[in-house]
Amino acid sequence: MLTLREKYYDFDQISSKVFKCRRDDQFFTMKIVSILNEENQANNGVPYWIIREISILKELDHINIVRLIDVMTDGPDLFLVFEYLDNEFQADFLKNPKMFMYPQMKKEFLYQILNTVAYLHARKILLRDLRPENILVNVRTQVLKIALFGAARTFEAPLEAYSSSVGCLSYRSPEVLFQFGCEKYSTPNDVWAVGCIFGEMLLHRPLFSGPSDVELLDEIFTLLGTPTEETWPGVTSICGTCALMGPPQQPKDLAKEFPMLNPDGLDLLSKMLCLCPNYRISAEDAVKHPYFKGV
Amino acid sequence: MASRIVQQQQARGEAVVGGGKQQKKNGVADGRNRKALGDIGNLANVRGVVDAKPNRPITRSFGAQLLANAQAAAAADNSKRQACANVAGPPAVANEGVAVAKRAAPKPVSKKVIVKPKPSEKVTDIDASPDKKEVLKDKKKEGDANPKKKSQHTLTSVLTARSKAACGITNKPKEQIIDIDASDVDNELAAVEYIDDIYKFYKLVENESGPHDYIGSQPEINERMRAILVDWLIDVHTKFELSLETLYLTINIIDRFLAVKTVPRRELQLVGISAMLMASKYEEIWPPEVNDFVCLSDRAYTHEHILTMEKTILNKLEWTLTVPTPLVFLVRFIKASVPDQELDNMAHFLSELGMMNYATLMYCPSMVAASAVLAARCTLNKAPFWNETLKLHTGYSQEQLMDCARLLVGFHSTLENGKLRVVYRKYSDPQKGAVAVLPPAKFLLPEGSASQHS
Repeated sequence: MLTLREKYYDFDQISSKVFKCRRDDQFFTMKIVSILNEENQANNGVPYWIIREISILKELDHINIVRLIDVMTDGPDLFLVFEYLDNEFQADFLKNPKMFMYPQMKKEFLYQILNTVAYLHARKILLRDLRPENILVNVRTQVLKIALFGAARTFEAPLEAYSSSVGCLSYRSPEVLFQFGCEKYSTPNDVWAVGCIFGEMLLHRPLFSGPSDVELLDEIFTLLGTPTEETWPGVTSICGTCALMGPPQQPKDLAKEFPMLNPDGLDLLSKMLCLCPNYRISAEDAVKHPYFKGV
Repeated sequence: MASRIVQQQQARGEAVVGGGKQQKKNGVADGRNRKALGDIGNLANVRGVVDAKPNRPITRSFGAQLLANAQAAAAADNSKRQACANVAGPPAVANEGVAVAKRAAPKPVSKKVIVKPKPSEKVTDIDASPDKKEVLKDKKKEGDANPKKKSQHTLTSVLTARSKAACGITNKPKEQIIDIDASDVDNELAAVEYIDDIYKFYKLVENESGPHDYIGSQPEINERMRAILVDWLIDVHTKFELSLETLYLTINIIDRFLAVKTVPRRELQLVGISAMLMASKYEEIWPPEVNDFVCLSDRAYTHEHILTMEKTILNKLEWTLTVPTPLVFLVRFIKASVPDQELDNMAHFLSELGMMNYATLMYCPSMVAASAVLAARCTLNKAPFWNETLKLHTGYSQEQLMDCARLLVGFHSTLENGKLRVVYRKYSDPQKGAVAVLPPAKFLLPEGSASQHS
């Protein structure tokens, strides 16, 4: 079996743990992951998130997902070899000033994100941590790639209880913030995150940015209204007396909040940001929404 | 006649029709054909045999030839039982005149299937999309010279009808198929929008991750040792209160590892412990720690032993843990059985018995799961033992499952007197409905075969 240095060469450091390397005439990106903990001990072996990330990525083959090529071990370190994305692929795609040059580009990128999420859900995979920092974009070719699957996991239907402390706070869905239904959440959680990213594309700032669960929920309810039995069946029986609910608020008019959106766009956004996870649009249906006509 | 693809059953190890990696990745670069999940890349187009009406006059000799072919096909279909169906999803069920309460499934990308003609026949292009069952019409029907001619009951037609009935090719009205997801439409935890795609995908890939027959290549390990290990692991799993997914994944990891690496007898338990550690990390929110497993093994293995073995297994299996086990199919097939709690417990009991016994490895995960449901229904005398709903969702007929179901019932019938009793104890508990103490469905077993499974 070939060693790391025999298989890959011409190492060029990109960041502290990321290298560009070569094999034959192809370039790759190599990410070094240590399995040691803070005390420099491998108490529990390979961390669970690495096992999940690698195992899930090994099964995926999609143009909008960064492809894992190889995994090598050397002592306490793991070397993950990914397809090489050139300098034109910018991380944290919403911070790229060129991102907002063309309105059609936003629609194009949103379509690609939803298409990828639908692909993952059809393979029983929840992303759980979809945010702009994990999305790489090549503005010239208009190709988008989703990276970092550390929080992803497969799910069984009906879903079990999974950890509720997943994902970046700003992109967490109300059901996760509520820990609604005993930490059970499903595919709509990822669709909510896409809705937040869509809003951020349009406003050039995070749609919700509360520093805590309570403040974030308050921001959500300020825009979308406080949930009721009509809008979210069962919400009052679980969270009726809950301090998280706050005083009742009416939903704002999304057409005024997002004047740049046409009626189809407003319809899609409102369906992705539906408070009730049962009524939220699925990624599969969102991809077929009239908003994407002509994409 | 409506065109439909006949999806061939396929034994484990054979090449998957249309099941390889897609030649062209879907997405942006491909022009984005957004027909349902077509561009999501989880649909395999299976090229199969197509029923098409012959475009030639049905002479007496040609009619006899067609009948002979139909009889041969029906006989072959009844007798042939292959170990695994590796198809893109449950086979299409013809429902002429029957209202089927089923959610509208997303349309797969249609693919043209060309029927190779006999020299005297025309080439017919058939759209293989199940949603577009087009009626094939010929502009000229050469055999219909006199369409108004009154049909007469000749001796030939009576004999033909009888032979068709004997072969089971009459058009009997099909029983109602239950929409098993109807009650979950408003439950996002059931993932109803994706459920069909998920199981089509799992059916497609289940053979890629299945272990092959390996005991012959293990000089120090035999079936009995494997059974002892699994029995012990089920006990450990119960003590740790881990999820069923973890248990099934543990056994899958062990079998796949033993299929690619020779393991000395003294390390078999170490493989089991390390596999459960990995499966727990993959499935659980709070997995047990390495020290828990060190204590469990009565300190037969150290911390370092377990961590080294974990890495060895991961490398050997190329980090592939996202695999369909019998459990992923079992939960779906139990749901298709419209179960009560007793049936649910019985199916799980028989499935775990199957997992303990090496002989079930010759069957693919979906077949083991379907057979567990069939055997459970037989054991509990749930008539009918198999129905159209189960056939649709499992992709198997009762006949195809009988061998595996008999095997599971055989394990059940010898369990009470066996030495490995963890599964028996687990399912003798009143909380599990005490299903293990119920009498097995011995009517499924051939005479005098109960003693074979000890």
